[in-house]
Amino acid sequence: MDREKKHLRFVLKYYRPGVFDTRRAVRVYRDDHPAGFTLWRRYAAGIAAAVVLCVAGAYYLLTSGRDSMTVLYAHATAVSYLLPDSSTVTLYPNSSLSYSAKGFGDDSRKVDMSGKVAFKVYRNPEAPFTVNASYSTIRVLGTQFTVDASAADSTSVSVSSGEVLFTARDKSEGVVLTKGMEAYLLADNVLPQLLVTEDDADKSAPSVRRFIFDNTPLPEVLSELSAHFKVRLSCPVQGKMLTAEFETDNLDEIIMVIEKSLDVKIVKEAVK
Amino acid sequence: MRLENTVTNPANDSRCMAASIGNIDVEEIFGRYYRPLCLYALHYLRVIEDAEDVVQDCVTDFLERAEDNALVVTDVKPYLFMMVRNRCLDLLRRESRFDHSLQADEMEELSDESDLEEGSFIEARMWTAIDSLPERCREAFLMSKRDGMKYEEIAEELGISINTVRNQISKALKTLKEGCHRVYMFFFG
Repeated sequence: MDREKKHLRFVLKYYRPGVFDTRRAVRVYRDDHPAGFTLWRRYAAGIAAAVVLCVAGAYYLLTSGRDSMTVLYAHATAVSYLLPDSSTVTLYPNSSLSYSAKGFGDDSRKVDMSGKVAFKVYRNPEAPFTVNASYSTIRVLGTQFTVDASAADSTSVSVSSGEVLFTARDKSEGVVLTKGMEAYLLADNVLPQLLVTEDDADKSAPSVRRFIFDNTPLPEVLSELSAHFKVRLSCPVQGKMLTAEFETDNLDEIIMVIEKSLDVKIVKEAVK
Repeated sequence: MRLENTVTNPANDSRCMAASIGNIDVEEIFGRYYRPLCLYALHYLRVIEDAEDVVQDCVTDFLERAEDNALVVTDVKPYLFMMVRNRCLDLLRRESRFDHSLQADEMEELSDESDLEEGSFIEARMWTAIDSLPERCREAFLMSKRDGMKYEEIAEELGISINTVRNQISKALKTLKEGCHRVYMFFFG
C-alpha cells in the first residue's frame, strides 16, 4: 500500500488532464507515417528489387535477348555456316537454324531448326549437341548427319558418320543411328522408324560384325554382345529396350552409345 | 560516472535482437506502452512536455526500424524502456540538469530500474483512472489529494455541499483502486 501511495503521489504531482494522450500520439505518428507510407516502407526493398528485375528483364529481352539469338537462313540456294563450336551446318533452300549465342558450347549446344539441314558436328563430349525440329529431337554424340524436317508430317535423319540419338521431341527413348543409317519420324509417332536403304548390303564388310537391334530388350542385346566380344556385360536397370544398329569392332564405343541413349550404366567384366 | 555506466545503445544490444516480432501493430504498441513510457520518462525528466517528446521520438524510431525490418526484437517492452531511459539520460546530460531538482527519495527511486518500469505501469493506470473521472469529481479529488485542501474548502471553492465532495472523492478513490487493480486493462487510451 505504501508503494501504491508513492505512485499515486507521483501521479498527482504531475497530473494534468489531456496530456500523455495516447490517441494524439498515434495521430502524430500517423501524420508522419501514412498507412500507405508504412506499407511502402515495409515493402520498399522488395518493390525496388522487383522493379530492377523487371527493367533488367525487359532490357535483356529487348536488347541482349534479341542479339543472343542467332538465326541462320538459306533461301534460294544451300548455304554452309560454321557454328561457334566449329561444327558445320549446311542449310538447304528454305531452311533456317537458330541458337542462343550466349553460352553456346559451354556445356550444351542446342539448336532449333526448320527445313533441311546437314550437320557436321565437332566432337565435344562435354557439350552435347541437340537439334530440335518441330516435333523431334536429335541428340548428337559427335557426328555427321542430315536432318530433313521440311515435310509437314515427318522428320528424317540420315547419318554419314558417328552416332546420333533420334527421338520424338521431349522423349528420352529413341533410336541410335550410326554411319549410313537413316530413320524417319512421323508427326504423331513416339519412336522413329529405321529406313533400310538400298546400299545397306554393300556396306557390310566381312571383318566387321553388324549388330541390328529393333526394340530388343537390353539383356538380350548385352548377351549377344557378350558372346561376340567374349566378355560379360550386365546392366542393373531392367525393362530397357534398344533400337540401334552397330557396325564396329569397338565394343567400348557400342557400350558408350547404349549407355548414352538409354541412360544406363553397363558393367563390363572379363570372362575367365 | 553513473551516466557513463548506464547509457548504452539498445540498438547495439544483441540480447534484444534475436528473433522477428512479426507484424507490428502501431495502435497496439502505443496503446500498451505510450502512457507507461511517458510516466517512466517523467521520473527522469520531471517535465511533461519533454517526456512526451522523448517517448514520441523513441516509439517512432522503434516503429520505423521495425517496419523496415532493420530491427529484430524478441521482447518489445524492455527494449522500449531501455530506449526511453537512454534518451532521457542523454537529454539530461546534454542539458546538464540531471540532479538539480531531484530529492533524495526520488534519486533512490531512479536507481531501481525494474521497480521504476513496473511502477510506471501502475502509475499509467492511475493516470488513466483519473482521466476517466467526471470533471467535477476529478477536480474535487485533485484538490483534496494533490493540493491537500479540506473538504470544506473544496465545497466552498466548487460551490457544492461537503457531502457531495465526500461522495465525489470516495467515488474517485474507488475508480482509482479499480483502475489500479484491473490487471486485464492493458490499454491506456
